[in-house]
Amino acid sequence: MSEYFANIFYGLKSFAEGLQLTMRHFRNRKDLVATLQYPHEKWPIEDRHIGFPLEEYNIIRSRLNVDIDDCIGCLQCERACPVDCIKIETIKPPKGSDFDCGITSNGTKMKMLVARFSIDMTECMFCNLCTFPCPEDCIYMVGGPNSSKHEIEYEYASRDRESLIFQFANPSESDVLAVGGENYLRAKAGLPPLAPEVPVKPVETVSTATEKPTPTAGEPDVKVLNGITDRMVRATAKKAFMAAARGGSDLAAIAKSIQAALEEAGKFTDEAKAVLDSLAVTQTPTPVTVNEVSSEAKPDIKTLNVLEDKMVRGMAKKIFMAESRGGKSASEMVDAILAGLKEADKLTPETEAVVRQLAPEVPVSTPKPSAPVTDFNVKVLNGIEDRMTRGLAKKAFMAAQREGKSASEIIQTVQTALSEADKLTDDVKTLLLSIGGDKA
Amino acid sequence: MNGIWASTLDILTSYGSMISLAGVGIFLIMAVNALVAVYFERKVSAFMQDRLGPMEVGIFGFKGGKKFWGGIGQTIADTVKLLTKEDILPDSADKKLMILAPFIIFIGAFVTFIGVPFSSVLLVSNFNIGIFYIIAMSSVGVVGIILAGWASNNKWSLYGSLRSAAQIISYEIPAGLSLILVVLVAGSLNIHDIVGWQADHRWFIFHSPMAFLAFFVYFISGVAETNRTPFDIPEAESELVAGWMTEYSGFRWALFFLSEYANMLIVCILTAVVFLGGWLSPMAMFNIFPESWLIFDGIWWGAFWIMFKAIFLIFVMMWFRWTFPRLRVDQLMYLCWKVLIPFALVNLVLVSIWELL
Amino acid sequence: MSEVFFILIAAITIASAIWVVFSSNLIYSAVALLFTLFGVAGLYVFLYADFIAATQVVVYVGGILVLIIFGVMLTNKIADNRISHSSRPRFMAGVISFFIFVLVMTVIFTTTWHTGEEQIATATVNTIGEMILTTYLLPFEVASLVLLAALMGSALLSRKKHG
Repeated sequence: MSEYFANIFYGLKSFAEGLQLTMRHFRNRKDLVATLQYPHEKWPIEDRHIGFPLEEYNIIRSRLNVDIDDCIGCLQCERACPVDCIKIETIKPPKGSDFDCGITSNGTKMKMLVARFSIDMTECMFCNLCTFPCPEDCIYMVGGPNSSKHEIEYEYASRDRESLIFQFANPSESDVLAVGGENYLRAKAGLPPLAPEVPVKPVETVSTATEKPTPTAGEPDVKVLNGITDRMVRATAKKAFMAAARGGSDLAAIAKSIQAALEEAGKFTDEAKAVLDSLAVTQTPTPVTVNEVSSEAKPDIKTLNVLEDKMVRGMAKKIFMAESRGGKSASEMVDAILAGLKEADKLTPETEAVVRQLAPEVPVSTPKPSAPVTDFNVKVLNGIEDRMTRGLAKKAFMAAQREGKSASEIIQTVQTALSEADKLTDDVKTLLLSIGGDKA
Repeated sequence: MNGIWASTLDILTSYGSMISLAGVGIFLIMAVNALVAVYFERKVSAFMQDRLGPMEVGIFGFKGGKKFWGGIGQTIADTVKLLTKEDILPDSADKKLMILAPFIIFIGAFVTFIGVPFSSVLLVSNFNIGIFYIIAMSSVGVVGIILAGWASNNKWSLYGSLRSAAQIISYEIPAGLSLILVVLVAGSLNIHDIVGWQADHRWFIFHSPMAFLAFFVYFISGVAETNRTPFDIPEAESELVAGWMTEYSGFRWALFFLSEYANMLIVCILTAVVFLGGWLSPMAMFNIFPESWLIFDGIWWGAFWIMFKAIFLIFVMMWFRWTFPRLRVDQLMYLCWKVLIPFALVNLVLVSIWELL
Repeated sequence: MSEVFFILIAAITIASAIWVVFSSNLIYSAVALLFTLFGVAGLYVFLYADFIAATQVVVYVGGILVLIIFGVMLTNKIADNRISHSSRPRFMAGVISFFIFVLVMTVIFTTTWHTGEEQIATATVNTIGEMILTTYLLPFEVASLVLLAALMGSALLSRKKHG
C-alpha cells in the first residue's frame, strides 16, 4: 500500500521536474536555439587541410567559369561536352568590316564576336572534358589549381532554374550591330530576318532576270567562275581571281589578269572566254538588254494541274521535270512538252492552251547572244531519265568537251555514243535535238 | 420600413438560418483552431527542443520575424497540400466505412461544440444539462475510431483503434467523476449556473483541496481522452506506423486532425469553464480594483478570458506532450483504473463530507 | 416546424432500424444501429426528456454500441458470413409477422390513449434525482446491485488461471 503511494508521489515529482526542464528551455530560447538558418546565416568556412596546399591540386571539379574576354569562339568546348550543356553562338564580322574583335590574354587575335555563351549547370555533369580542348584556357573549373583566376565557389544553389543557366557572354548591342548581326538580334527578338543582299549572279538561263547589277553592288564574287566546267581551268581562273581581288583591282582588271593566267597555263578555252566575257558584261552598269523580261516567274508545274486527262497530265509533267532539270527556259519547256504530247497523239487545242500558259508572253528580246555557251554544261543532260543512258551521255559529253569541240559537235558525239550502246531512245533523241537545235 | 426589418429579423431568427449560421460558425472555429493550434504546437515544440520550427513560409509576402514567429503561413500551405492530395482508398478496404469513419468523428466533435460556451452569450445553446451533454457527445467519437481502424483492413490499424477506443472509454470515467464533483457543489448541470456559482464564491480550484485534485484528475483524463502524449500509443509515429489513421490520406486525414484539435479545444474550454471560472476575470475574484473598468469584465472581456484560459491550457497540453515519454498500454490502463478512478471516487466522497460541514 | 423535425428523426430511426435488420454485413448493421440509437435520443428530446436523451447517447452509443461492435469484430469471418436467407422459414415467418402486425395495429388504433397535459420544459435533472432517491429508491439500488454483479463476473472471467 505504501508502495502504491510512494509510486504516485515519485511519479508526481518527476512530473514536476520534467516540466521545469522543458519550461526552462522554452523560456531561454533566445540563447539556446541551436538552429542555423542556412541561406540567411552561415558558419564561417574553415580552411581545409588535406596535406598539401589547395593550389597544388592537379585538377578540381567544381563550378565552371568562363573568361569570356579570352574566348575565341572555336566551339571546341561545345563539341567536347557529352551532355550538350554548352551553347555558343558567334557572329563573324563580314569581310572587309573593320570591327576589332579583340585580343586574348595569350596574344591570339580574336576573329569573331561571341554573342552567346551559355552553360546549363543543371545539365553539366562536371566531367571536366570541356576544359581540356580550350586553346586559350578560358573555360575552367574554379578553385584548386585555378584559384589564381577564380577562387573556389560551391554555394551557388538557387531557388529557380533560370539562374542556373549561366550566361557568360553579354555583348553590347552596338557591338553586335557593328559586326553585322542584325539578324541575330532580330532572331532573338522573334522577328523575321531581313532579306539578305543578293550577290550578283551571272545569267544562267536566258529569261530569268538578275536582281540588279549595280556596279557597286557587292564585290565581284568568285562564284561567277563556277560556270567553267573543266576543273583545272576553273581552279586556275579562281586563283587568279583571288589574287587580283586581293590586290584590289576592279572588275575589268580582274578579268584581264584571269585571262593572262589562263593563257599562260594554256587553258584559255572558249568556255573560259565566254565566262570572262559574261563576267565583264554583267558587271557593266548598262544592263545588257538581254533580259529585261524582269521577274519572269519561273514556270510552275502546278499550272499543268488543269489538265484533266491523267495520262496527258502525267506525260506533260514528266517532260516538264526533264526540261527543268536540263535548265531550260519556259518557252523551250513549252515547245518540248508540246512536241512530246504531239508524238503521243494527245495534243488537243485545250491542252495546248494550258501548256502555253507555262510561258507567259515574253518580249522577244529574250534569247541568246550573251551567254549561249555558259549554260551548255553537262547539266543539260540531266533531262535523260535512265541512269545508264545519262551516265554514258555525260561521259561522252565531257570527253568531247575536253577535246574542245563545239556545242553541236559535242551533241553529235553524245548521240553517236548512245546509239553505239543501243540506248538512243526517242526521248533521248528529242532531248538532244532540243539541246542541239538551240545551239546550232 | 419597420415591417421590412421586422420580417427580416423574423427570418434571421427562424430555424433554418440560425442552424446554418451556427453550423458555419462552429466549422469556422474548428478550422481556425486547427490552423492556429498546429502552428502553435510546432513552434512550442521546437522551442522546447532548442530548434526553430517552421520559419520560411509566409502569407501575403509577410514572412514574420527572422527569429521567432516566422513561417506563419506554414499551416495554410499544409492545408492546401492536404486538400489537393490524392485520395487513396485501398482496394481491399471497406470503402463505405472508410468514407464514413472520419465523418463520425468529425460529427462527434462538431455536435459537442453546440454546448460549449465561448462567452456568457456566445453559446449556441444553453442546455439545462450542459455539462452532461458535452460528456455525452464526446463519446460518439469512439465509434468512429473503431470503424476507422476496422475499415482500413490492416491488422495494425485495428490494434491501434481498439487500444484507442479502450483508452477513451476508460478515461471517460474519472473525467465524469471529477465533473460530478463540481456539479455536486454547484447544484446544477447548467453552465451558466456553474459559472454563476463561481462568480458568487470563488473559482472552483480554490474551493477545497479535493476540488484542486479533481482539476488535475480531470485534466489528465482529458489529455488521455484526446489521445495526446503521454497517452498517444494509438497514434504515435513510432508505434504502429500511424495507428488507426495509417491508411487515410489527404482530406480524410485532415478531418481526423481537425477533430483531434477540436477535442483538445473542447477539453480545455470545459476545464476553464468548470474549474477556472470561465468568463470571469481574475480581478473580480481577487477583488482587485473593484468597481472600475480595470476589472476587465463584460461580454467581450468574458470571451477574451475564456479563450485566454483555454489557450493557456492548450499550451500546457503541448508542454506535457514534449516533456513526457510515452506510457505503455498496460501502464496507461493501470493509471486509469487503479490510480485515477479510486482517487476520483474518494474525492467525491470527501467533497460531499466537505459540503456538509 | 417541430413536426418536420419529428418526421425527419423518426424516418431516420426507422430507416436505420430496417437496415440493421436486413443488412447482410454485420458491421453495417452495427453502424446502422448507431444512427437508430441517435434517432431514439432525438425522439426523447421531443418528450422534453433532455437528460434521458443525453443518457441514451452516453450509455447506448458510447458504451453498448461500442461493446456490440467489439463483439462483432472479434467473431470470425464476419465479412464473408452472410446471414442465411433460406426460403423455407421465410413464408411462415412472414405470415406470423403479418398477424402480429395486424394485432399491434388494432391495439394501437382502438385504445383510448390518455392525453396528458402538455409538458413544460422544467429542470428534469433535479426531479429525476429526487425521485430516484425517494420514490424509486428500491429499483435504483437493485439496478446498482445488478451492475455490481456484472462487474464482478467480468473481473472473474478475465482473471488469469492460477496453476
